[in-house]
Amino acid sequence: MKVSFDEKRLINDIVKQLNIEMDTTAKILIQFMIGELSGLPINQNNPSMNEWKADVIEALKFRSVASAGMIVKEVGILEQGNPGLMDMALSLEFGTGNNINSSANPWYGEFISSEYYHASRGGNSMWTLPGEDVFDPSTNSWSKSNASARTTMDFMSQQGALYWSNIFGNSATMAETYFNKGIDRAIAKIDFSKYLIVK
Amino acid sequence: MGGVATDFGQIIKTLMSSQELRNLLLVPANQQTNGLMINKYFCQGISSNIVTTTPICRIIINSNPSNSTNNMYVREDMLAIEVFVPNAIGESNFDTNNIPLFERRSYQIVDSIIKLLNNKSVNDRKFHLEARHELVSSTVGFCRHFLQFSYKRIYA
Repeated sequence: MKVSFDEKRLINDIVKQLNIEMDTTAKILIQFMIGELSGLPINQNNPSMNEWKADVIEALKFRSVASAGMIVKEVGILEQGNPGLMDMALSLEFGTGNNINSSANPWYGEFISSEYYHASRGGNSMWTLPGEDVFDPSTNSWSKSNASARTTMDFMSQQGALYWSNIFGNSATMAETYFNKGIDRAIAKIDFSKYLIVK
Repeated sequence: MGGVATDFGQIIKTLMSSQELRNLLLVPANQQTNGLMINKYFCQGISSNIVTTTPICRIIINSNPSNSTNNMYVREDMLAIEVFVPNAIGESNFDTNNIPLFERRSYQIVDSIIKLLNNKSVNDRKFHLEARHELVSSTVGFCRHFLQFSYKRIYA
């Protein structure tokens, strides 16, 4: 009698179980991220930030795609090709107007030299821009400003809340238990006796 | 035993009935009744990060997603407790009683909750500490601690 072990099938099944458990963990992690994000305070003078927050929550997603035989998972990824969405997310993170944290924002230089920044602002202050085309991040489109005079809009400036640092850090910490338990559960679901081959 | 509501009712009652915890939370003596403490110092059903900016200590009790077990009728439920303590509270005049100089009040509260729940039975559920972390608090001026307990319950 010869006893051997079907290692290949065992490893395949372990990977399959781990993927199932990690999918569940990733969904829980997203829920924690949404919980953290939704609870963060918004400058009441700038209610549009609440809509931005809701849009960013909506855009947070969990992607699991099969690529070259490997399961690739992305958690809490925003679509980076969408300038309006990234603008909203970065404004939540680093602030807006005079309260922006420009030194911490790695995309600040790019923003200043891009078409999205109006040179007539002359700094970080927010102004109405009569006669100019303005970008609306909610609709990802440009439209003519309907302002009739140039006035300051300081009330709209908001401090950044390090949303991403906080929500990623906090939610990852809170989901750690689920991650560890998921691995234990994946292994517990394997019946090792099934992989014994007796000839 | 009862249902989920009974479980959480008993958990909050266990926490609220601890004199040590009430003192650490600095609940004024004239507010130490169930009706006055609930929702102000011991809160359920609010999103984790929305806390008052009033400088008072708060305990927030939430349910985290439950885990499956090998028995289809038994699930491992998760209890999350968050503790929000104003940073400046160590500077006030009325909180120095019985607190050693280098021991932060927020950790004392955490210790007290662990003592009340870890490896203890509440409503016939055995609680086990799964995680303890200090998290970033986006509410300015507060520190935030996170505790997670697991317990098994039957959903027949």
